[in-house]
Amino acid sequence: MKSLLARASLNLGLVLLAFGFGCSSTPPPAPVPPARQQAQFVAASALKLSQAGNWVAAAREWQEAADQFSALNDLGNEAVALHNLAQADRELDRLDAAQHLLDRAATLNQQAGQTNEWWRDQIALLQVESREEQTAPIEARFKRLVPLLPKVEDPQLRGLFLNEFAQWQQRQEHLNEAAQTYQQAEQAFVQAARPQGVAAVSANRASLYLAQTNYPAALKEWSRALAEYEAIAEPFGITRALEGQGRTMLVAKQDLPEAEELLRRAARNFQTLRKPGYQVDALLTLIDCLKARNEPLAEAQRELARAREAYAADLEKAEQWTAAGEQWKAAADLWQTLDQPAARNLALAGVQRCSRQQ
Amino acid sequence: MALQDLTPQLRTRLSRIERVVGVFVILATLILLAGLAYYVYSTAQRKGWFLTKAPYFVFVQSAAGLNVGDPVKLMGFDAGEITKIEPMPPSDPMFNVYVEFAIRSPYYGYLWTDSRAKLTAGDFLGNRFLEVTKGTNGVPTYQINSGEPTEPNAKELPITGVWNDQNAYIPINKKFEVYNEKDHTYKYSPYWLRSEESPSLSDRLDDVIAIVQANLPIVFSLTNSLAESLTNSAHMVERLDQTLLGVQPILTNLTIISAQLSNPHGALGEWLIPTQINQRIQGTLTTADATLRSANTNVNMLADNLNHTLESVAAITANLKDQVQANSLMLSQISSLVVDADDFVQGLKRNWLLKASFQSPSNPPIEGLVAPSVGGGGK
Repeated sequence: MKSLLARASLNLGLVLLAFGFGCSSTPPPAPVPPARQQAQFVAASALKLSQAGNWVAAAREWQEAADQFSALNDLGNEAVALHNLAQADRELDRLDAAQHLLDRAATLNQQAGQTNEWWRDQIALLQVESREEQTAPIEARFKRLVPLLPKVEDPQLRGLFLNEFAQWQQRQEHLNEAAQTYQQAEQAFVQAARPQGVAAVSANRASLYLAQTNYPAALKEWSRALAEYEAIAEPFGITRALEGQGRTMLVAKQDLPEAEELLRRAARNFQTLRKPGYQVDALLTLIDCLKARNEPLAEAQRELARAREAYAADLEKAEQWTAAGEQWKAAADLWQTLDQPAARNLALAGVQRCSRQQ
Repeated sequence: MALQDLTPQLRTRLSRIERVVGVFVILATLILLAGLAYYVYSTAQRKGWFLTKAPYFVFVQSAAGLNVGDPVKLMGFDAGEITKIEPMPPSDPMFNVYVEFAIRSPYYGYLWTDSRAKLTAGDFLGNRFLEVTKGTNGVPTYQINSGEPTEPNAKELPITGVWNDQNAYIPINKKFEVYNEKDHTYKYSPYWLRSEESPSLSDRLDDVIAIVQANLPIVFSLTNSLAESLTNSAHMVERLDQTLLGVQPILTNLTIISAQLSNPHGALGEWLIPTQINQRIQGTLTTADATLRSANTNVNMLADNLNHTLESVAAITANLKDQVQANSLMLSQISSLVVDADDFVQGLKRNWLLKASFQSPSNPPIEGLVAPSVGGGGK
């Protein structure tokens, strides 16, 4: 009996060996062509630069990736590269170029049948048009996109779109509808496990409560947004939540020393993050707070003048001469108030430079 | 005077001279022809008329500074020349100018799919020249013989195929034409090299001048500020001079006080340090001296011990060296063991049962970056 069992187990082992090694093996996979490998390498490098916030270098790499994918006739990847190039341009305040690139990317994605990427292009276009305050194109785009929304299966895309739609409703002063849409956007982001989206919805909802003059609810939402941004360690979101808390306290006239502290921290953080446009807004709110407390303004005005100059330089790089000229003019007025003639002359030189370019 | 009128002796001499002249003319003609042939041959060799020339093309934004017949450089050598420069049709949205050039054998063997055609500024007159770069990480643009890699020293490299968009070589004839199976025709098919174009030096200088012009007001305001600062500094130095004059009597007084301090019976040292403290300091120094002596002994012992340890380490390394010398084949055996182990693992990776355990990490497909906006997309 034992020898029978031993023979049976030996035979079984041989069969298993034959299955394991005898019947092996698939040929090695075909290598990726070098040109495609190179394009993918460039795209991966560009993605890292975008994630690190190095937008100038990222724009250069995305352009290179788009060219290489175009040479390979790879419409899908070319469209994605153009989309990401547009995002880099948007961060560099080149809004017209970003809009043009996003239109091209949307057309290519439609040809390649990449529905999700097409939706990303549309959402990015909505964000660019919101920044340029183009009311008519945004309205037309929402009219076209809202009926298509039920077909979108990706919860992240749904959340992104609903977040934009709610902000549009808020700007149109349809505040109750906006609150409902924010609710749906939050649910979608929770379903997609996107804490960044949930935090953004909290911040936007706080702005909505502020518009409704519901200050306790607004403060609560800002605190919630702050905690959510701190959990994902996003400095820009944290700073915006601090600024929102300070602004809400100032409007509600609650605990003004705390509001001043929050606004000072926000302004300093925006400076560290090299977001001079946001820093200007935070400093303007801080000056209002100091006026309400009858505190001296000179220091904050000096910071504001410097922030306006930095913002003007950024706008000049993006060739937005009118806006840059306005910032230089405001900086020159501030320097005059502070009795700083040399700094005022420099700011006036900026005004002249921008007026020559217009 | 007719020839018949001459004497027979004179006629014989004249006909001999005629023969010599005829031979001279024939010889001169032959030498002339040989010289011409040699000149043609050397020119052909210099210009590479007998060599195979592979056609390439690039698209550039501007044909400024480029001419047909201009040399094309590769690693500093004249590797070919520009053969055609034509504008693209007005309807073409992407490219402006088509530039075709021929690269001589064996230089086209250096051009791979990752090679680039660079348009670089040549001089201050706006001329530019075309330079192609050596490939490093792709495949040769033209297939040579049976696809063997290029031999740099070979004079003539016969071409059999061209690398195309489907990432494979397609056959090509001697006129660099590709056969089209649909309409049974041959189509001239040069290889498209990607271009990297830089503006001419004069354009760059224009840009620099524009920037300088734009910044001149700032420089002038800076120089004004500098002049103001220098005037203020001059005022300050004048005031400093007056202050120094006022300080001079104080310095004289300080000199007198310090001279008083150097006197042993009124000096600061005797006021501050009484005699007892001097004795105590002497005792402390004696103790410190004894401590240093004992520390010196300890350090000597430590150094001895360290010496023994180093000797032991030297003995160990010497033993190791002996081991390695005794087993000279050990390293090669270890190397072959590693290679065999690698083969074994590669085989396991392809095995149908085990390949799932060796999924190679691959880059995820790229996707568009969109972040949720707060308050209208930001500034």
